[in-house]
Amino acid sequence: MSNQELTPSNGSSFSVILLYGLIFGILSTVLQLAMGYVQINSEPSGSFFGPTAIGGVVTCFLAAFAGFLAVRAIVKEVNPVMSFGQGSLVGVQIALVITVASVAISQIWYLIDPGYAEGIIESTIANMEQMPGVPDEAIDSTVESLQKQFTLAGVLQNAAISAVVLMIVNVLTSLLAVKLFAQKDEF
Amino acid sequence: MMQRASRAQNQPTPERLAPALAAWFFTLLWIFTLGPGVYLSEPPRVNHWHYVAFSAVCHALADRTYLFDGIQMAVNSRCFGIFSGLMWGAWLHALVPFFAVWLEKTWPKRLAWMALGCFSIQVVDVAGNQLGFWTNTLDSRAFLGFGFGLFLVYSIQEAFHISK
Repeated sequence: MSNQELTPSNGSSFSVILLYGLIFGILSTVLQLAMGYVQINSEPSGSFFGPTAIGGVVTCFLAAFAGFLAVRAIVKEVNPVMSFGQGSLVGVQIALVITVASVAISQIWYLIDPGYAEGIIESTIANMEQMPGVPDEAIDSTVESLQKQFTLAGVLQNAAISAVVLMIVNVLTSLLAVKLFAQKDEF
Repeated sequence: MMQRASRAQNQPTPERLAPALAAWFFTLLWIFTLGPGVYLSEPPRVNHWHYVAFSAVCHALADRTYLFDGIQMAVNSRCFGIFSGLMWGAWLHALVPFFAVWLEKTWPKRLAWMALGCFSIQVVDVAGNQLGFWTNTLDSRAFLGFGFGLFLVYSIQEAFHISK
């Protein structure tokens, strides 16, 4: 294999990152939205552990292992040589793509269905009212914070904060994939 | 063994500094997972930054999350176990560097496969619990998560070395 063949091809790598980021961003956001509808249309259970739980678990796994699968795809299809530094970069980039895709899709969806945010807030209130010993102030505070969460400023603020941890986790899973699948690059 | 230990101690400072910095970083991350109970006495709003920060990678459902000083932690018990494993693994690597080198030379990639195996156990545990085959607890989830975090950080310990 010549040196030229071993040189990482950044253009192709980035298209893999973009593809995987979009796939995982769309999947996790669609799943979250779908679970939101399940919550809206179900009877209040009086428990935080509602029908959204399984969706939450799957979303966690999807978001955390996007970097792992992207590195695996790059190593298999683009270039078998990857250093830990390049792997970390893949993790950071894929977390950014997931965050941007997630914000864009959710914002578009709030425009398509303006009743979604209201439905989530109402179902949360109904659920909290079923819980024993929850004071009215706690419900009011929850409603207030949920309303802020559905504004553009709230969405962007939350996305920026959560992107940091998403990057850290994806860097770790990307490094694991580098260790498992990539040939060593000392530089 | 003594020779190896002294060789590790004689390493140039930057080489020993990188794993220590990684360990401090994971310790800081672990402190964040404890949630706002570390410095607040009253339960905060549902979208407090501690909860928002980890929301993309952890559902942190109230039923499945430990309390710290009476306030819900930022991550659920499984993720708390994972972040604890990351922290302990990073410190183990920083304080006993020759052990990591020995492991890597003896079983290259095996730790990484074990990390992946530990992740598969999480999936099986979640599925078995949801399907009603068994009921897991906060502690069992944290214990299983700890193994994944420990093997994950230990398998990628080379990433925390500075290349010469």
